[in-house]
Amino acid sequence: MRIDQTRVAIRQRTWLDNLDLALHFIRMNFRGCLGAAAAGAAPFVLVNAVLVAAALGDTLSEGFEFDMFFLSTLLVLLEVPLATAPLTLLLGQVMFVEQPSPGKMMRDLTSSLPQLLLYQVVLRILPVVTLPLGYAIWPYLNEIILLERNPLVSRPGQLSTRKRSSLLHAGGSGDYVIRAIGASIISLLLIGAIWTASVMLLNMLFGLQLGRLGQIVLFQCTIWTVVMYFTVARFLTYLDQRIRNEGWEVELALRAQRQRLLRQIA
Amino acid sequence: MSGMPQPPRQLDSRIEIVTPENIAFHYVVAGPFRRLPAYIIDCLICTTVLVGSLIGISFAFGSAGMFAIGFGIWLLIAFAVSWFYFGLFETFWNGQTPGKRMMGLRVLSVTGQPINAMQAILRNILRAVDAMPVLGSVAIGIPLYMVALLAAAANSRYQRLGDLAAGTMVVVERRSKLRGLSQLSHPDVVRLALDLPRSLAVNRGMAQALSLYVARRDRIAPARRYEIARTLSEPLAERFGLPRDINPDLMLCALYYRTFIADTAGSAVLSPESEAAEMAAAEVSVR
Repeated sequence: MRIDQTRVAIRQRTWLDNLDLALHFIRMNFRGCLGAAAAGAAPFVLVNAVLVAAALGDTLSEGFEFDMFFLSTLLVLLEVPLATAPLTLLLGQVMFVEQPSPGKMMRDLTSSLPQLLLYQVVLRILPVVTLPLGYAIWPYLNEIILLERNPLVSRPGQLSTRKRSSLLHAGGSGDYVIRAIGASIISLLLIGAIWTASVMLLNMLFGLQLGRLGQIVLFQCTIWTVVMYFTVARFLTYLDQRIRNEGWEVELALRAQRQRLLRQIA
Repeated sequence: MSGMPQPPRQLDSRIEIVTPENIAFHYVVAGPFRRLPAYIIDCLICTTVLVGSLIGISFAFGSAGMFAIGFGIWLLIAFAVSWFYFGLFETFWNGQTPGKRMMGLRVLSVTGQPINAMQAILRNILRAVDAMPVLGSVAIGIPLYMVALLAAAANSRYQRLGDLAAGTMVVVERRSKLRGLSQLSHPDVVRLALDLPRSLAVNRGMAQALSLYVARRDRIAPARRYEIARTLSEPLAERFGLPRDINPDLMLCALYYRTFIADTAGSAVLSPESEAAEMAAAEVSVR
C-alpha cells in the first residue's frame, strides 16, 4: 500500500465534505461500485423481499408502507456489515490505485469472515437494543476488519481488532453519535426522495401502478442504494479519521523532503 | 516525458482557477450536502417571514373586516419571498444569503469573479427545476431536489442545473488562520538546535514540512509521531553526519526551533524559510 499514491487527495475534510466527495467518487468509479454493491446487496434484496412480503400478508392494507419501512429497516440494520463487505473491499483497492481484483477480494473476504460474523453479526444480534448504537460508537469496525485485518487476539507486534478499533475510535464518540444522527436523517430524506421520485417516474413514464410485491422490491432497491452510498461516504470519513489521528498529510510532506535529500546524497 | 506513466488525477473538492494575469486561486467547492444546512436556515427564515406576515396581516386586516384584501397582499409577499429571497440576497450580499453567510459559503461565477444580478436571479429561478420532483402540489409541496442531486453528482464543481445555466458555483470561504510560531522551549530541543551544524540549510519546502509537522505533532500518538519523524530524520542524519540514535521527533523539533526561532531571534529580518511558512497558509500562488 503506497499512501502517497491515493485516488483521493489526502487532507482533512469535514463530514459534509466527505458526503459530497462520495458522490464524486461513485461517479468516477461507477461500474466497480455498482458491481460490488450489487454483489453484496442482491441476495439480501431477495431475502428481505420474501420475508417482508410473507410478514405483511396479501393486501395493501392501511399502514402497509409504514410496516414495510419498519421491517425493511430492521432487516437492513442487521445485514449492512455483510452486504457492504464487497464494496468496502473494492474501495480499499481502488483508493490506493490498485487494479481491483475479484480474486483478492474473495480471499480477503474469506479471511475476514469469522471476525465479521463475530463482531458484526453475533455481537449485534444478541444485544438487539445496542444494534443501531454499534454503528454510532464504532462506525469504522467494518473497515478495520476488512482492510486492516488485525488478528482476533493480540500477537507480539500486532494489535487485535478490538484494540485497533478502540485506538482509532478513541475520543470521538460524541462526534460519531452526532454524525450517526445526521446520517440517519439524511438517509431518511434520501430514501423518501428516491422512493417517491421512482414511483412518480414509473407512473408518469410507463403508467405503472406498483402492486404489493412491486412496492416491496422497489423499496428494497431504494434502501440498499442509500446504504451503498453511505458505505462510500463512511469509507471516506474513515480515511479522514486516519488522516487526523495518524497525520498522513504530514507523512506525505516529510516523504517528499526525504526523496529530495536522498537525491542530494546520491 | 510522454512515455512515463501518469498517475491518475486525484479526486478532490479543491479546484484551481487561473486568472488572465496567471495567478492561481484555489477554492473548495461546496456540494449538495455542504450546502444543505445553509438551505435549511434560509428556508426557516422564509417560513418565519411568511408565518409572521400572515399573523400580522390577519390581525391588521381581519379586525377591519378586510381579510380577503389582506390575504391577497400576503400572497404577493409569499410570491416575492419564494421567488426572490435567494436571488436578491445573492445580488446585494455578494453571492451570499443569510444561511450561506452563517455557513461560510459564497456563490461565485466559474471564472472566480463575483456574480452579477442576472446570474443570481437565473440560478434561483431555475431552483424550481432543480427541486423536482415535488411531493404534493407545486405551490405548497415538499421539494425532493433529486434533479439537483443528480446534476451535482455529475460534475466536479457540484453545480446544480441553475448553476450550470448561470455559470456559477458555490465555494467554501476559507478563513485561513495564520498560525503563530509553535512554542518549543524544551531544554533538549534548544540544546540540540544549537548543536546542529551551520551547514544544515533549510529550504522553503523543508520549512513548510517542518512547520506542518510541529503544528500537528501534539495530536499524533507518540509511536506514530516517531515513525513519521524518522522518514526525514534518517536522511538528515546521513546527509549532515549527525548521530543515528537521535530521537527523530527531537531532531525535527530542534531543526524547527533553529529555523524559525533561534535564527530569527537576533535578526529583524525574517529568513526566507519563515516567509515560506507564512506562504504555506496562503491560498493564492503565482504560477
